[in-house]
Amino acid sequence: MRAIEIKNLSKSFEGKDSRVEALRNINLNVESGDIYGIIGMSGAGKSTLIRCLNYLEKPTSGQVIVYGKELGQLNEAELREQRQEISMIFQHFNLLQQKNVIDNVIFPLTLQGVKKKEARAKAFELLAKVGLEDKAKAYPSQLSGGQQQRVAIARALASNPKILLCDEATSALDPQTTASILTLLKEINREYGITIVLITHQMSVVKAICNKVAIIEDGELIEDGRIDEVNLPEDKFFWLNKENELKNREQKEGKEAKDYVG
Amino acid sequence: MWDSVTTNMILNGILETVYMTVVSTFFGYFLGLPMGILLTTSDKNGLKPNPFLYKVLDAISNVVRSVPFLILLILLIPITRQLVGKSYGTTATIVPLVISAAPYIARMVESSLKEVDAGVIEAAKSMGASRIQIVFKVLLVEARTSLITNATIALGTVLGYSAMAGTLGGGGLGSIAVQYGYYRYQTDIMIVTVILLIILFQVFTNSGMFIARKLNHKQV
Repeated sequence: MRAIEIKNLSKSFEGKDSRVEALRNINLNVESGDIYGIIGMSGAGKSTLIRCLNYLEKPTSGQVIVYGKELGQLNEAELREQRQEISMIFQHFNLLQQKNVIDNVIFPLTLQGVKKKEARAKAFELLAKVGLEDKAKAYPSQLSGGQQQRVAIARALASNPKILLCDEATSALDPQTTASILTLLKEINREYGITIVLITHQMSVVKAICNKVAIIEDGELIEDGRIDEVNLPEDKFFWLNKENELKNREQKEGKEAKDYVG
Repeated sequence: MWDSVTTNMILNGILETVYMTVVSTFFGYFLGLPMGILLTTSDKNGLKPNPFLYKVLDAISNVVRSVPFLILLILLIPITRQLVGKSYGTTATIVPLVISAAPYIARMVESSLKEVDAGVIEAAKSMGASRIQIVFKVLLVEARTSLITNATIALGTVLGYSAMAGTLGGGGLGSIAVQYGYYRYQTDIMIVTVILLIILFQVFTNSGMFIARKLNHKQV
């Protein structure tokens, strides 16, 4: 079954006297159960693209169809309801800093008016799932980045979504933590059958968990398909500009080779 | 050193000052908080941009803030008389105090709410939160510490203004300082009232900051 269908999607941002075309004529299909990776360098438009999938950004033209519903046709209340089925996690976790872990996980349920007791039970179950049941009373500032992302994942699962959007979810984490978060995502995908769309600039992330991949460059989709069909460059400096490539390679190789995931 | 009449007068002055300050700040927030929320949400990057509403609120807040308090107090006499029945005394002073404090409070609320991390707001939107839910469950909660800190500042400022109103029959410690200390050259009373004002200011500020720190979970 088709989870997400993107048809001729374009997005441009109007400035005072400039117009930036962030996305041009994107066509993409995500099947139910996929872990779909969208990879591209910063500024390629991948953040904008993933935000079009839950209409945090409204496309300038084109359609986004989620399980048969075209998001552009929905009114505001319907769109809010639809968003409960499309959860999202972020690079900087975006937890409520003034609420403790359990209340963060409960938060999407209180928005839906779920009863407190029921919501708490559900939240504890999810915290156990992400391995943080002992941190229920802690505040986000007391947690490491990896733990915060786990809380964010538990929060994202609270509303029983069909789709999970990951916006550079591991970009702020070290290699070990990245690996553990990716393992968790894969588990979620398998156990709950949640379709995952993730954007990243880390090739290793795509190779680790995605079954399909799309490469986006300058607002255009240049290649997409099953991971074994798409020609992914091996070179870890693939995304550097050609002219800067050698210079940067010399400067960064020592440091980045160590930092590089996988 | 003084007879009981003077002591009672000063004790009464403390009560009047606290009454004016607390009640005025409360009503200042009654007007200023919604105004600050609307300034935040109607701004061009707000939850529901509305240039017209923003300009109107912006203009009101700037005009009121640019009128010196003592002038405002005099200008508002007809309105005060309508609302309270007289134009002098502690209760009457509350009217101009509220009117002058509200736009300041609105501005402070606006700046507190704009400090809230845009990512957290985006996360709430992605969960399907409505605008009202974002205001009450995200903005006001996340900005709590900053709001309380600013409320403390507002309380201190209103305290200062209430003393100023004393020169025009406002009552409270300011009134005593002017009548006895200034017109009757009783420097001792003047000094005592000033010290009491300083102590009150310290009590307000320290308790406000204490509460703000207690409720903050961002840095541990």
